[in-house]
Amino acid sequence: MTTSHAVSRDDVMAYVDGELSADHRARVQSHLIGCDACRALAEELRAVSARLQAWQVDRGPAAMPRALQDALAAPPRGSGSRWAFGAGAMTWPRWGFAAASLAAVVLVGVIARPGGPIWRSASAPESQFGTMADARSAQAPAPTPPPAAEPSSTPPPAAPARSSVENLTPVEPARQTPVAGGVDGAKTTGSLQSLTPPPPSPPAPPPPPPAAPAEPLPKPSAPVVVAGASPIVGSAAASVEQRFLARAGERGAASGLADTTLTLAESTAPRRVDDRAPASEVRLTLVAGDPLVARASLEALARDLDGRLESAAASGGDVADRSTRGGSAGRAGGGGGLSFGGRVPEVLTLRVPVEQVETAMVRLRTLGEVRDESRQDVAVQAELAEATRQIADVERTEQDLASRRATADPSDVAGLDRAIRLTRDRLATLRADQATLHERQRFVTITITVR
Amino acid sequence: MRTDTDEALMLAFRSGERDAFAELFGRYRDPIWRFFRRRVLDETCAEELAQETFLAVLQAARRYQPSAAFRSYLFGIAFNVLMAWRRKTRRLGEQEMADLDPPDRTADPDQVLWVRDALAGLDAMDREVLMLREYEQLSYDEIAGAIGVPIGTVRSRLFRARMALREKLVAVPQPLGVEP
Repeated sequence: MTTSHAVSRDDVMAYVDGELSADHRARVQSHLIGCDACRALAEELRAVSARLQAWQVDRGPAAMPRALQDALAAPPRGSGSRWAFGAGAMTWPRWGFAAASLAAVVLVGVIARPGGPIWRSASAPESQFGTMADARSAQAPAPTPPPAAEPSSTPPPAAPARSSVENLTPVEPARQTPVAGGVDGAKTTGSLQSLTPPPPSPPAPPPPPPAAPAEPLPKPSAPVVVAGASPIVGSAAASVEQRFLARAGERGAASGLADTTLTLAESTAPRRVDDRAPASEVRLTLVAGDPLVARASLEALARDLDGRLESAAASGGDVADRSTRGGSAGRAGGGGGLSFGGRVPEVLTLRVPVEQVETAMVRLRTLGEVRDESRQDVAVQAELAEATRQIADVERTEQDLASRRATADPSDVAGLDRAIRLTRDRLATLRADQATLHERQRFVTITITVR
Repeated sequence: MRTDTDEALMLAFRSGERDAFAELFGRYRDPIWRFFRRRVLDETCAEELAQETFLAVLQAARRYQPSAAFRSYLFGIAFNVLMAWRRKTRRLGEQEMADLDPPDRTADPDQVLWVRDALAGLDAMDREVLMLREYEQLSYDEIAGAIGVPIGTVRSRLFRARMALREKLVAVPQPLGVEP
């Protein structure tokens, strides 16, 4: 979705939504300053969102439903680990969930509401909107999950002891692969999330037990919202659960969250980076005898120097990460090399540690003729200082919200919890932005036009 | 109140800490309720579907892997519960808005009806992406994970939905005194 503008219209939307990386956001912001049409578009998008917020919904029942309580407290069969909840509590083996789930489903079927069965008939009040089932089935091939079975229905023959509810677990959500230093590896929460929240709810039912005295907020071990994302790739598996399990097998043992935690720890760990250092950039043209061989050599060069090679054929914020980095897989397709989709990219971006740039240049000259070489230093000190300042501000906000929550009226707790979550999201994004800027200082960006 | 992340709570629950699930329920009780309440006419039915969602989370806990934000996982389950229910009720693309009272009686009913009428005119998938963004406030990544589409699809559908609503916004002036 592009126009004659330097940025696309959906990039403007992503900017308003706070979904762009620091670099991309800066480019869009710079463009908006001089483009009336895009500024007007941004305002229109904000106006639409504001109008949509007119539809607010009352709070639902406060208490945990009886069926859920029973499922949670259902006695296990056999021995197993203890509940951490209270001394001498029931044991709860992990496999006991299956038995408890069956019991829960039966229990839900037995607990009849006054006036009718729990499970609705075809004549029951329908959706507010048209069903999306037909819309989804008309999409690119998507597996059809098994229908939600009634308690008395025959369970799926493949898993006779399992509840139909289990078949509703989704595909493994998008693997949140952070790309520290990548073009769009970090995102920020933007103005759209700061729109006026829902109006205050009516007084809540009996309040929950008072909160524990305020304690210093521990830094979350992993961000609530993880920087970076992987697009979901469609699967031909027959059921939602099969897709879930298939993808878990494809990804192997490493969990995305653990990877994310590790990567963020790497990028935010104290590094001996001088915050005053600029980001160095080199541009050159490489005339190679065989461009394909040259690109393979560039990949090897990136690996050897602990750097990264990326395709610079970007169309905006949603470019798939085609980077190859010392053994780590790129996002699209999960493979370890570059995927050019059958068309040779014209421009590549090689990032190498500052101390390796001369070695990289020497090796580049062995791959072909280097022309039109230019170097420049880009000052990122101001951006870094701003990111550091914002992090400090948001951390203070987080502490303040936590303090307020400790003594808040029960009717305000949910709103404060939401604010705390949003604040933590913002913190995670800011820290990722900071890490990106540090990486720009640590790594030299070499833009190579291969001919 | 526990201050663990959602993902940490799920892992704790998987290890047997029952209060971890109770904490998660407390955090997401209202968001999940509102998810269904905006999509299902009958309040009782919405309540049941919300309950079914949490039951599914409870029952799937032993297989839970924190590979992405818990919110994406949870709303993915809610979305599947909703789809299963819609298939069961066998409705085909019709909207019934005329005899419906706005859920929130403190809001301007004209504004609410405008919103719901405008949403009803959207493509079903576009509408779902838009609602997940505007009301559940999921990120693009989380929406992609929840409904199982590429993030590029999320962007394009979200943009299309907002442009369609923008047309309606122009056609129906903002009431006096209400800021856009």
